[in-house]
Amino acid sequence: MSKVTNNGHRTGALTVALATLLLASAFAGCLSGDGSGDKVSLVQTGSSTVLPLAEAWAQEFDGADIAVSGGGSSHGLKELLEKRADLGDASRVLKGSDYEAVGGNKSLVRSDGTVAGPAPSGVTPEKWVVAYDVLAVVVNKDNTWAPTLNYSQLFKIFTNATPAVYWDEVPGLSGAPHQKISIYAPDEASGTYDYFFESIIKDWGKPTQVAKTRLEHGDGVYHPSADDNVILNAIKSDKYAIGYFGFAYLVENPGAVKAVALSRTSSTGVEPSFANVASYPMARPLHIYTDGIPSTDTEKGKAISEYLRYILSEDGQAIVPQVGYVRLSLVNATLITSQLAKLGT
Amino acid sequence: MARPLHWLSFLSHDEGNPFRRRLRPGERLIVWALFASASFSIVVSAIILWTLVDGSWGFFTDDRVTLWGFLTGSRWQPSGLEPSFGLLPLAAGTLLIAGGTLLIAAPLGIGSAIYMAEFASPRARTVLKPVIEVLAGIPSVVYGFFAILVISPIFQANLGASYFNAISAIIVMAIMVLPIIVSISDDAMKAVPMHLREASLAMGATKWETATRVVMPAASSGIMASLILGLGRALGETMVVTLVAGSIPILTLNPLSEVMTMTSFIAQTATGDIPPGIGADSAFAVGLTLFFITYLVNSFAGIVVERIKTGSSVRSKGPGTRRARAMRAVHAPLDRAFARASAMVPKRRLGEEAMLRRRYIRGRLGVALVGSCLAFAVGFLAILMWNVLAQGLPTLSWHFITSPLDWRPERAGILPVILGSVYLMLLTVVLAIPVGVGSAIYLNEFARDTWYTRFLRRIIQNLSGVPSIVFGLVGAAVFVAMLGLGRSLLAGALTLAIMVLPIIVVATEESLKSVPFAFREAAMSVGATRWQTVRHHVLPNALPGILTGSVLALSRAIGETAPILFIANTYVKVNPGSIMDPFAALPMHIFYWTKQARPEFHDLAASTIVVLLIMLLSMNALAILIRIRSEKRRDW
Repeated sequence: MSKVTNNGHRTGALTVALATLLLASAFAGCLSGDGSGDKVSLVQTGSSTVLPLAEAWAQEFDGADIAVSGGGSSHGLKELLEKRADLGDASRVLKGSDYEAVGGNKSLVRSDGTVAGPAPSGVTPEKWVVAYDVLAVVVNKDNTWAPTLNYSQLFKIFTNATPAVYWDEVPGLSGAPHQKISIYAPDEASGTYDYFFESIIKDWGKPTQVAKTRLEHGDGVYHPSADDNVILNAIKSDKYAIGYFGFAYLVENPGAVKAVALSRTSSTGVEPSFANVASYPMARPLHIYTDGIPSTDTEKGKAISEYLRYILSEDGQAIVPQVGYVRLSLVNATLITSQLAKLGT
Repeated sequence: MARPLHWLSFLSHDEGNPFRRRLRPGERLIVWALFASASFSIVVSAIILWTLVDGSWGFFTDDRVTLWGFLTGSRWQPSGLEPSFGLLPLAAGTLLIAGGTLLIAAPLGIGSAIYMAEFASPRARTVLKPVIEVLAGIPSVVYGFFAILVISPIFQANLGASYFNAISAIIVMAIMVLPIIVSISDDAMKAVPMHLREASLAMGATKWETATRVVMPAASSGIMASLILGLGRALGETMVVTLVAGSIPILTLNPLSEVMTMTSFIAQTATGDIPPGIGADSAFAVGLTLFFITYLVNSFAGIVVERIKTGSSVRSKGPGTRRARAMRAVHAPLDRAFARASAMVPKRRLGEEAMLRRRYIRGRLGVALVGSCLAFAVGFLAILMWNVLAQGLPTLSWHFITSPLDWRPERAGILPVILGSVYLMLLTVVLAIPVGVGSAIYLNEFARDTWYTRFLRRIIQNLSGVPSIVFGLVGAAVFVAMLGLGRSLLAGALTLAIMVLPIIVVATEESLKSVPFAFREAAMSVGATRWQTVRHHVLPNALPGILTGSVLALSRAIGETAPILFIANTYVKVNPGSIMDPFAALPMHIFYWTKQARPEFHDLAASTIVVLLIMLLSMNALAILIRIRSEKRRDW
């Protein structure tokens, strides 16, 4: 039947279609072949702050094939709680609302991010602190009047309670010009924003909180962005700008902007650096959450356990500063041994 | 025409009369399958709607939210001490950016299209058209950085714009949507019958008058369609606005101010660290609203296009309408062209020498104007490309293309990422093409003009306007989580497949329509059933068009970041070996690397863009080859 209508034209067109099909089936064939071999596959996902670190560790660790992805701390915790990820990266601790989001009881979650019972899926999240992220407050290179700031000065600049409009309105700065302050910093959805204001606003996130951030206040001085490179560029090009972001962006762009020395109360601050981190006020822990303390009875549990051990080891921690973060031992020397002890032998 | 139009009427067959037997029993199964593929779009829409409604349920049932307050409130502050959920600032931001984009892109795009369709030499055309189409595939992240580093400083210095501002986003987005407008408008003008031009020229109109007063009006439905697609892209664009326009929801229409759009709010919240709760749920509520807005825009546009086509605002009903409309669609532009031409005669003394000279000068100026539109667009893109190449070429090496990923930029390669993107695309082809082509065959060859068919068309048109970030949310909620596919190639391909489905349907329908009706009549008159006609006479002739359309749809899929934001990985140790394996993809890596602290990674991102462009170019070259081959063989 089809031969009757056959002609050169149709054959040509059909050949193309056939070629496409062949290509597709060849692909399907290669898909069914064996992939990764006998290694355990693990899924690690979550905070974009932890991401560069997780990527480096996953690559250097030989005991498993680990696929790493970002998507935010909330995403990572949700994936872990719903058993779609083996390792959930988070730049903040687990909150009651993370339990609520998967249908759990929020009162099971303590304020330090540990839990009193499992989520509905049976996952009992276990918190591991793996490194510290230093938060740098930065100003333009040509800023000569704000080498050091304390928390009350930051409060004056970054929050709504009679905020400083001009630089000379910030108390305790000598030689500050009568020029408008502009702020370039992370947006509300970012964990960095949350950590920064937790440091300078009293009772942040609690019902007793009074002060609002200048972004909430909405006076147009705080320009948020989700991209730290964009923030860096903005501060670089605006003489009267101030902002904050992860220390890594400062290390990798030397001379682009100036870091402000910080102190909680006094007027002598500490500059952000690896060496100073123990006395620097704004360093936040980065976490990886797992489902309980990994049991060494299963292949997967063994791999997760070994991976955490590797992260806490000298080799694993040596990578941390190379990515721009702070190794655990510089902030809290006992954290490594206590967490290793928890993992067992 | 007393036969009742039932929505399954294609299945009924008159037993008595052999000449009315249009399908053999076995073939009815095939038509059922085609019907099912077409109806699949409803499933896709339902999935999207379900994801958005499910995600925003917690938002709309919260005590702090009222629907009225949500739709009319003028303050958007989803987190903090005094949360407030008034959508107007986000809506204003979206309106400002999308509207502004269209305001610039429409004249520029239509001008460029006029030049390409009516004045460019055939050789220039064959070069320009594919170049413009390829440029539609440049990842939006590239446009974003260009805007913030090159364009925004100009407005800051001269007009006192803020660092983040709407106008820079508008300008680059106008260039981004330009290829869509140019490509489709050019097709529409090329499809205007030659005899209209000949008639106009024969009556003494200049080429410019012919182009603007005869060809353009006759192609207006296609031009309108291109503008709508452009608007859809502008409404749904995420990456550029997030980078360039800022993230403060301010209720303003001042283009020098920073604004936040609905899409950038969704992206910011969905990828952020804020704990779950009303703030996170509000992203889905905004997504739902955006879904309805695109539906409204599309429906409105559909009505406009229909009116332009039929040349009247009278809505006629009942059987036989379709043919009448078709007749009018053919004759209306012709009638109008003649009416216009004859109207010109008595008013002005066209033949007078001064008048003639003026008309020709005006023609010259016009051509120069539309030519400069195209030159501007091409020049802008050339600068953009030069920027990318200057940064990306030095680090592009054989080592980079053939090595595994590495956290040290000096050692990093992108082999797994290239493979991930290639596999992802092939799998998308396997999933999307059968359903997409099947839908189009059903709609064009078997469907009758019933409410159900019209509903299907509306649904498909609407799907093509759904913002890609919404597909990202759907992919994560449905394929990754609900179906338990995890962050696998299969989940990624399914997400991309439902995204490109409407594009494939539309492209296939267009190429089916281009097969002359006489072919079908001839086949049926010698006794072929309707399926045999389609299978042996329509499909083979439409195949080249289907293939080029599919290739173009896939080039969109390969360059998109937002849909696979929650599915692709940023690090995989081994190359993907099965469809359930995790994968990495090129656009995602470009996005990821540009956000890194180390400047070396920014160079690698530029190199990755070059790799992506090379892949896009070769895919488009394939499409062009198919087009040229088929045009050579075409014997009608």
